[in-house]
Amino acid sequence: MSTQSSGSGDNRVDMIRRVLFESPQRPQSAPLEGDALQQHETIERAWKLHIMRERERRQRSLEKQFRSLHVAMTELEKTSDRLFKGASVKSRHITYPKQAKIPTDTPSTKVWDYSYKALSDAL
Amino acid sequence: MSSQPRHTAFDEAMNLIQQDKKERLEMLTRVEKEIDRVTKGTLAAQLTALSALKTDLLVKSELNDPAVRQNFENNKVDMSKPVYRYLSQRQFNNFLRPKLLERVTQMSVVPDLVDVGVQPQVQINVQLPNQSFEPGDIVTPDLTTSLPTINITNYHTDSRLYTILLVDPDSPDVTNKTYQQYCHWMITNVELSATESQVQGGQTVLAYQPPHPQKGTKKHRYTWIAYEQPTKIDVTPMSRDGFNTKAFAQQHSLVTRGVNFVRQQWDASVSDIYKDILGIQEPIYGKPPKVEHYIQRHVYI
Repeated sequence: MSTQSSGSGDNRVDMIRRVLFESPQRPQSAPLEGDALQQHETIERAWKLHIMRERERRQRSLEKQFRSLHVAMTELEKTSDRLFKGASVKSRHITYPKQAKIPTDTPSTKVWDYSYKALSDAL
Repeated sequence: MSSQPRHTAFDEAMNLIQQDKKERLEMLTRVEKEIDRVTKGTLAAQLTALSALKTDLLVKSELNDPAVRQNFENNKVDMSKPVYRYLSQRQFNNFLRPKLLERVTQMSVVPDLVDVGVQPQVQINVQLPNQSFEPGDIVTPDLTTSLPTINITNYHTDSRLYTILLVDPDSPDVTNKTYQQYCHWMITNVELSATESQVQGGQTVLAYQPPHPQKGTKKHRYTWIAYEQPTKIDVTPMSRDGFNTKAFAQQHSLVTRGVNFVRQQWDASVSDIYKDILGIQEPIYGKPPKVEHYIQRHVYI
């Protein structure tokens, strides 16, 4: 490996080397201690508690909905066979969303159709 | 001008924790009423489920309280409260027990003295003068010359009977040219519960003999084992030499609940132990003389 130690080029190469490989040793941000740490941990725990309570509330609400629906459907099954089948099966006529946009090379001149009304599944 | 405290995230957090605690305690009163109702009807499975729910509510209502957490950090635990028992047990299960099992397997305490697959349920905390140690640490013999105070941290509120012994599996057996187990100390019928963790009372079967690793031998593993007894037992004092922990446990149908051990090697304090406490001549072990396998041939000049 040939080493050319010329005075004029030295500074530039050293500078490049320093920039690339030596990172400035900065003091690390002070870790929390004492009261501040306690408060931080309490806040973190309370947040997790909040998330858990929300999740459990959502889960209870969904369970309640499912249970009431299940009761209604069992009752319907006993009452009318045709209505039961109609209530349990979704519309089979629409298999592909007709309103889906086909990707094009350039955007359309009509950016957004504000007067659009979706077809309602009246079955 | 009155200094209005800022409404911080910490205040909001404390409010939520207090609200959650209130809701859990309300649920707890309902559960307790249900327990009272069910005990009259004697449905065992339902009762256990309700009791589990009760302890769960008691624990979780206090678990997020920063005061409780700080008490636990500073080791000011009140084992009569389910929260502290829960926190202590969780720390043991997640941090202390895996380390203990690692050390115990690595240094072969496990197949030698204790069955493979035993899960420790209690902590054996031995207080050596001016030194705290981890399982398997190397310690000088002068620290164990007198009986150390032992606290067995357990998590059951009811009082159970324990047997604790100190065994050395690396005691030299000269006649058979191998090592044997030597029992230094045995105490039975010790009543322990979560609130009473210190080993006191009970019946000393074998009086405490301080560990004395002999000169010329390698490091000895001095192991404390805590067994749970099904009932009160009566153990006749046996010889310290040729002890067998597994046979002993099987004979009295004991269940291994806790292990802890320390390593020691000979130093000058052991000579003092032999002279003052044991009162016998100190044995010095060494390697047998080397046998010459090859006869030297003539040297060709």
